[in-house]
Amino acid sequence: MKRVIGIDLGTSNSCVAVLDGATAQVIGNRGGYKTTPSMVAVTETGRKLVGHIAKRQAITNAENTVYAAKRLIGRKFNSPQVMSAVRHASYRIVEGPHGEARIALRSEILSVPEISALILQELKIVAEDFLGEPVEQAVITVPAYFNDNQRQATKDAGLIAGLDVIRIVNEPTAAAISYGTSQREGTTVAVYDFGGGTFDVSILELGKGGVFKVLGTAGDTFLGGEDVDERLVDWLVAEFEAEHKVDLRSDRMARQRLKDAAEKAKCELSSVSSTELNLPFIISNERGEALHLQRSLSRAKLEELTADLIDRSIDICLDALSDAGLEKGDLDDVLLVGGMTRMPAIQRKITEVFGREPNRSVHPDECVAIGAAMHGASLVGAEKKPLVLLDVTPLSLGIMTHGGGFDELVPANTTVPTSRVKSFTTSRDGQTRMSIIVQQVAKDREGERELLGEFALEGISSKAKGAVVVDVSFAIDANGIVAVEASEQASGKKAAITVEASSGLTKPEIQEMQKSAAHAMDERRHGEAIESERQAAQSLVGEVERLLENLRSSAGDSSVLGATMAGIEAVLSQAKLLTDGRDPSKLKALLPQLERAAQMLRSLGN
Amino acid sequence: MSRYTNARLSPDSLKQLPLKPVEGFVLSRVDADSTADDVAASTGLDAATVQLALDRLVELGAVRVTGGRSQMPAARMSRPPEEPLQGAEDVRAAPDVFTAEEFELVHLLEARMLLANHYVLLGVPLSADRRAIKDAYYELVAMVHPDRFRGRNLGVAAPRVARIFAAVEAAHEALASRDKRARYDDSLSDANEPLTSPQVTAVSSGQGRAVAPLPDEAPLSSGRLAASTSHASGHMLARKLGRAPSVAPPPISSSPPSSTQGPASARSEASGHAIAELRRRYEQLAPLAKAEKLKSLVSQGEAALANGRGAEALQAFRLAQSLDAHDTAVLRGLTQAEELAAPEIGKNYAYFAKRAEYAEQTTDARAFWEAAATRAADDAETQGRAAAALLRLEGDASVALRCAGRAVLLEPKNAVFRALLGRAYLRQGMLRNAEREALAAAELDATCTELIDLRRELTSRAPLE
Ligand SMILES: Nc1ncnc2c1ncn2[C@@H]1O[C@H](COP(=O)(O)OP(=O)(O)OP(=O)(O)O)[C@@H](O)[C@H]1O
Ligand SMILES: [Mg+2]
Repeated sequence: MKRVIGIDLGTSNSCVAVLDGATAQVIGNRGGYKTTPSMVAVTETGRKLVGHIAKRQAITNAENTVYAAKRLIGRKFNSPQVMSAVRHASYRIVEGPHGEARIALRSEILSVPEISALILQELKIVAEDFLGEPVEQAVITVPAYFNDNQRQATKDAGLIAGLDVIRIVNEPTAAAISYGTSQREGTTVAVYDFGGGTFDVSILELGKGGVFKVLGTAGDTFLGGEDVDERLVDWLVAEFEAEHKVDLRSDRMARQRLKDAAEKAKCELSSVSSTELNLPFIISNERGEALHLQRSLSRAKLEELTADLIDRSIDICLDALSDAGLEKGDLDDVLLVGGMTRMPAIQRKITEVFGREPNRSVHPDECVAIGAAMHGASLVGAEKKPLVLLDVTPLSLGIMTHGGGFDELVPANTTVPTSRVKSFTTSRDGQTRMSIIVQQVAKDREGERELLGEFALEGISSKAKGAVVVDVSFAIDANGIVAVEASEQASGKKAAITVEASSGLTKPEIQEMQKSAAHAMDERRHGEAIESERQAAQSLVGEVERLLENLRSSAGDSSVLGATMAGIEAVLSQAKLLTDGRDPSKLKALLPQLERAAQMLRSLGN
Repeated sequence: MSRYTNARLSPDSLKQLPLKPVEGFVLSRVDADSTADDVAASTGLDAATVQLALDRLVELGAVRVTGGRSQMPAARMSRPPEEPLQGAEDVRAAPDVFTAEEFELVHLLEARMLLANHYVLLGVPLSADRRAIKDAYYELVAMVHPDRFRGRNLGVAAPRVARIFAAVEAAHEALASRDKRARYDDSLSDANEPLTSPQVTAVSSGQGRAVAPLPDEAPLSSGRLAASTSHASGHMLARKLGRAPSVAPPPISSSPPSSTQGPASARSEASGHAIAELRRRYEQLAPLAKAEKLKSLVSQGEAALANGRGAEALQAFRLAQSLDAHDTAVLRGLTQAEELAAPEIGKNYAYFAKRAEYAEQTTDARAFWEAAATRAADDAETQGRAAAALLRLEGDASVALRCAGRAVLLEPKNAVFRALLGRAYLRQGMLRNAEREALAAAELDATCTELIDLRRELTSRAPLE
């Protein structure tokens, strides 16, 4: 049976796991790390770099290095979140053909799903190398608070990466799975997931027979470690400006260095109480003098700068609890997930608010991927004891009514899969077309409705007004993805649905991207092959040149050796030409000749 | 007109299907967009047999059916409807029907759903505490969650599982919090309960779809389902008396029903409480509410009648009758609804009959065919199918004769019906009549397979005369 991988596609870090025997395990990448930075870069020569290697060159190539792309996925360019990212990001965000956010990298403009696909592809390779077999199916996790557009875009990213995404699972739910299998039935747990870009909380009950029921969920897709870092950067920038009258934000490279230093300091302050930030030559003033940033930062200061962010997360937690109809005392455990939960202030706050030490038994960086792998295995029947997830939809789903009102069809926190049928009647004589605008809304945020699409039903029987009734069903599947289906109540007449306003990629676009991603993957595999041949050839060429030089200086241009030497020179120049080329097979064919020449020269030299 | 398309399952998957030879033969003749007539023509089988086989193939997912009530295609939210991209669901789907246990579970739950009581569906007594409700819910939901059937091609059964899942969710939802449960319990004392079935409540703003019509008695009386059936009819009785079901059905277990004998006494005690509780509530039922309900049921029934939805009307009037057995509007409506719903109920019986045949429960099958024929008295096809089935199952020959006669009366120019009538005559020893029908059939269609059968029966019979 083909194996299903579980992928935690994080804002800062991504992780892949697979069921190996009875337990799921995280697969280390080539560098031996269990998580891979969610970063993608394009080098000067147009090569794409993913993960640690992209992170390493981020400072020198800030404009062409993408981080936190997850904050942009499935979002419209003119949304407030993207607008804020445009201001802060060191890379360029532009508007795509459907009004969505895209990213400009050197000569290319890439959609966000394509960026995510590069990360997914990298993890796919990591898994394939580990398993020694091709991987086709994956379960990918998303923040519980993601809307339909974001989920759909994540699924598209999987498709582009050549993966069959058998399920999109919510991150806190996946974390609960990796925690829950060792817990007793009837446990009620709150999963507090503070990651790099998003904050999520889900309240779950572990029911009889391997059922995980989400009782309520809440979150903020724009609250995470990135915001904590941003606070620090703001503070550093302000302090620096007061001292030197220079705005550090004006320089992309300085911005990237600041961000890095801020994150590093934040992480250090989780274990020590004070740290130094040291960025020499960060910028020059108008007189051309180099300026240095040097500053010490205490844990207390960090906590002061970020207290409101942590408070916000706690408020969201309490909201979720009350939505689930529970009180603090009903919780058996509070589970900490996400890198940010290493921050002592967060742990302290939770202990304070919930009156209990949080549970830290699961690995905050790995449990999401592990849970996803376990669910994947269960879905394809590879788990002996199947898991059943009853997740909920985080947002309420409805349609826009005349005059711009919102008619709620599926309230937030409804168990999925679910569907609702609503009947529409024609309002004009001879009307053959109807248009329905579908929206999703976060609780208490009526104003910020997310448009999912405008559906046009066409080919409705032409009759007197009110005579035709069309049943439209709105379904939310187990992925949290919405589908609309329509049937005319009385007649059997066929009508089609077309989506008019949507920010998602179209099918041809996805197929095109899928093709070019597959092509790039081949190129890359090919590139790796040529690279190893090239390295072998280069070291031989170096050796032959050195030996040849030695021979020449010791024996001179004696006529006996002249012909041999000329022959070797010819092989050498051919080899040099081929190491610059793109065909590894020719280079491979030349290797034995080089080897023979080296051997001959070695024996002559002795 | 329904059109059938071969789902083109892989040979390996096909081998796993429990097909009879005739079904395999029919399948081999289904291409794309074939009608039942096409298939009948290319197999030389009679229409009834072909239809039976096609229905079965559709149920197994080996054949897809289009036409009839047409559905507009589903649209994914963010883009227009399209062919699935590479690696999409249906490529992977391996055909697999329900296992025997699942089959039983699904039918049991469907029967419970028709009773439309959340307690009944979850299998807990009215007095169950929160823990017991939760446990029952978790146990049940783990069995009917669509993921449990993932990657299996349930064919037309898939929406049934989805409906059960939704009903179980709705039941738990309604009983989860103290407030909601109190409200629901109050509504139970009002005899309107069966109309607000879970399927209907799951539909928020739109009108609910009509619940599938149910023949008078729950037609589930096959051996394996005995335990659940007795409960089902018990509730049916309760419903007729205008009361909500008073006894909790047995909890579901995946083992056969016989193993649920153990905790019976505990359960009967619990149900004793439940009955007392229910009686108390019932006695509080305000006469006013009853009149109100009656009125709304009657208008609901009349609307259904006007729209030609017989089964729905029948259900409404039956409920109304349980509130007031003498109301003239109710009685009038009932008569009309019975008339209107009869063919539908007949078809239902035909369906149950077929199912009994597949399960090789011949006695049940015969009884269901007879019931189908009685109901769908004006439907030539049902009459014909019933006649053919009764002959095949060696049922009551006089009933077979009546059915075939009725079919011929309705469609005198149908060779199959003529031949069937001939065979029925023959079964009754009326040789002369049989020969006459053979002649008539031959004149209409000499190649009809029923006629060939009739001729064979005639020749093997002749020397005895
Ligand atoms: N020791 C630490 N102390 C404080 N913060 C830390 C520590 N280690 C990591 N972090 C922060 O945790 C965040 C990354 O967490 P994580 O890897 O869980 O996020 P993610 O899964 O990539 O993002 P998301 O789940 O929001 O999409 C970063 O902001 C990182 O700076
Ligand atoms: Mg995360």
